[in-house]
Amino acid sequence: MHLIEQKILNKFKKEPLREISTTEIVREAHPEDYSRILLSIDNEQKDRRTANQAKRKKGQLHRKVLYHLNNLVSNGVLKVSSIKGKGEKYFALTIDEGELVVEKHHRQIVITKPSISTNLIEEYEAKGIVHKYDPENWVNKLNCILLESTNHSGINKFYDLVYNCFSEVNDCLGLNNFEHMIQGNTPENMAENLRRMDIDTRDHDRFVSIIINARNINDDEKMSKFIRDFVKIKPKNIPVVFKADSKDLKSHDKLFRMIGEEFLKEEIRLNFHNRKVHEAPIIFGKAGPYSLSDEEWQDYEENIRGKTIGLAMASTSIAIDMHRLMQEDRSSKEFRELLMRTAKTLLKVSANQRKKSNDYFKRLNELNKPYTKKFFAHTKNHIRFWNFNLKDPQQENLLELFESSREEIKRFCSTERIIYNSCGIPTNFDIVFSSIFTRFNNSLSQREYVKTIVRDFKDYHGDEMAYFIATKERLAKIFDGGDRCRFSRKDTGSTGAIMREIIFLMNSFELPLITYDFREVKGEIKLTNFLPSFSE
Amino acid sequence: MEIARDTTMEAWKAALNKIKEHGKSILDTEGRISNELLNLSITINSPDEDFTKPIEIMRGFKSWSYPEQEELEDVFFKKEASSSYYYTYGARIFNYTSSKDQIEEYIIPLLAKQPNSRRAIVVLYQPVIDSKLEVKENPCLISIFFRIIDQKLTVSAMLRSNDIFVGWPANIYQLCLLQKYVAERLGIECGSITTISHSAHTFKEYDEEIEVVLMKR
Repeated sequence: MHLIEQKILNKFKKEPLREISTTEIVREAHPEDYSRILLSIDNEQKDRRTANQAKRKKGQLHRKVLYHLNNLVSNGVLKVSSIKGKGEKYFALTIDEGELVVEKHHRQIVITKPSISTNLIEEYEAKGIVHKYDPENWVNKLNCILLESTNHSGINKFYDLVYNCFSEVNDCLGLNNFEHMIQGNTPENMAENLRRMDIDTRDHDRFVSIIINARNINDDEKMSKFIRDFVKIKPKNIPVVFKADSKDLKSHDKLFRMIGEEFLKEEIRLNFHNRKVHEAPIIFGKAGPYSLSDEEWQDYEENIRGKTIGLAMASTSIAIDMHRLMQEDRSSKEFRELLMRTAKTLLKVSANQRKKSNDYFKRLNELNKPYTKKFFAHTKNHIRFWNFNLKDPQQENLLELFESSREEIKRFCSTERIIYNSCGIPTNFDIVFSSIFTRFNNSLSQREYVKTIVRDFKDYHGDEMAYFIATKERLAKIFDGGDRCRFSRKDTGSTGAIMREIIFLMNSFELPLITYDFREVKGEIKLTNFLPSFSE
Repeated sequence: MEIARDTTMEAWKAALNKIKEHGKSILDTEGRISNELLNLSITINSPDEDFTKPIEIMRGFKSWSYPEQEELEDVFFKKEASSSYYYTYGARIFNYTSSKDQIEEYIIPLLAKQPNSRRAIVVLYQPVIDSKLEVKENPCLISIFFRIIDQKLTVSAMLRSNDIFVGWPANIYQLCLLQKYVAERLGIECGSITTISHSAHTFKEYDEEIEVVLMKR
């Protein structure tokens, strides 16, 4: 057996459940060559020739390793599990579970892939009612990590950490207090790193939420420059979330008017996290939003921040397609039964994850030593709900059903924590409900719910809008794992008016996150039309 | 208060009955109603006969998911503490303060050399880490004492807080495996296991299931 094939197989032996990218395998097979190449590429501005040579060498290494990977695919050991970003191949073991013996020229490698029984939800998966998020990596990667910007002063070093964390998550990262980076680094350096982040997030198919804490803004000029560069680059997978209350917005009135104007011009979504309603950060991923409770966030601020790289926010997500479930069986009993099955599945997955966490999260363990446990102290499992329509008379009691089911699931988690704890297995197992984004996967049912249209500012006081917002307020309390209220705007007016509306919404309603979506802006810009919707 | 029975099931049922009859009703810090006895000693003369039975029964209830045997073994025998647990008994026993394997470096050599020793104790509680007001989780199992009586290895475990219905079956399973391991290394037979629970309790919410266990033959 060729030495490279041995190295590849040993990588899969260590992480049999993972889907591994070609780049990661190349790094494993040629660690020294690869780090030399990366150093030379990073040197680009100083010596373009060396950098070009390094890029060629990188290509050669990729081709060499791909030759052996393809051999293993032809032999039925590996399969191409997905192709992401700019066409990078990801590989996984062909077996679903059990033992795989690879024998070539007197050398034998035995790989054992443990089974993760999900038979409790299998029949629902087959009907397209239940969906795991990223099934290939749903145990061995976290969904979402929050990284703390204030632990670092230089953006270059911080970005290295961000980049390293792409392989630890299967959805997204949140960069908390990012204003600290913007204000502490040169605009040129920030723009350069933003460009890199844009390319890397596309290549790795990851999302990064930039969280700007408006209360800490003390350099409006640098902030404006960053926003202008951001709008120019217009990164595809990098949303910005402004954490603020109405006072913060008023005290940086000019800055936020400029932000509104720039985002409107480029049709970039404006996300405002209302700190008056919810303190814990809200991070956007492909699967949906992620957040914590305010008590947990307080624990982070008081006991964890500064000791770890941030926080592991979420480990696993399962989506329930309510439209398909309702078509199948409309009874609340069926819904509760499905939720309990999903919760038990998440408990099992969580046990598997715990068992192998030293292997799966080796790098994160190292990065957070000696406070690794604190880093994982508040990790959540998400159950996300897709395509429910509260205007449908047959779903009119859905909110009450969500509320009572949430209580049941909370009780289940608490009982399990107590049982496990009594048995000498202290864990923080927890499940939260949250909303979902369409990027979760391609197999969700077609959107059925109807968007609520508001044609004038005074419609905020109309019955339909009042019902919509009251419902979103209630949902935000049920969806403690993260939710947002989106206003898609057909026509817009002055940015001053937009800011006044946002302040009005922040002061008047219990909405933790308000998103203004300008992508449907057409024709003349007038402040007259909003299209709020229940989901994405 | 003392209970001594030949088998694990008999001892478990006797302890549950004792708490049911003599336990004091107390509201705990999390607002749960418990029935509690102080310093309950439970001895099983021949645990080997049926030490897996209570966890099998617990796994049979549909109202919850009881931990898998594999995980119960992992947390008790693995010296590497996984990042997902606040603490593990395994790390405390086999890698105490990341520096001492209390079984391999102390208990086995000590009892091999001095079979009559009264010094064979493993300590799991670490006051430097655990005795802090802000610590949310600390171990219930405090110490394990090994003593050879009549050529048999006996084990006595001290637990500060012990849910006799939910937790005790797992504790006994783990202690029995440890006893077997040490006895085998010493080349002797296993004797009795005693647990001494400072706070032995059951929770009201499990009263129905407790009755089911008490009805079992």
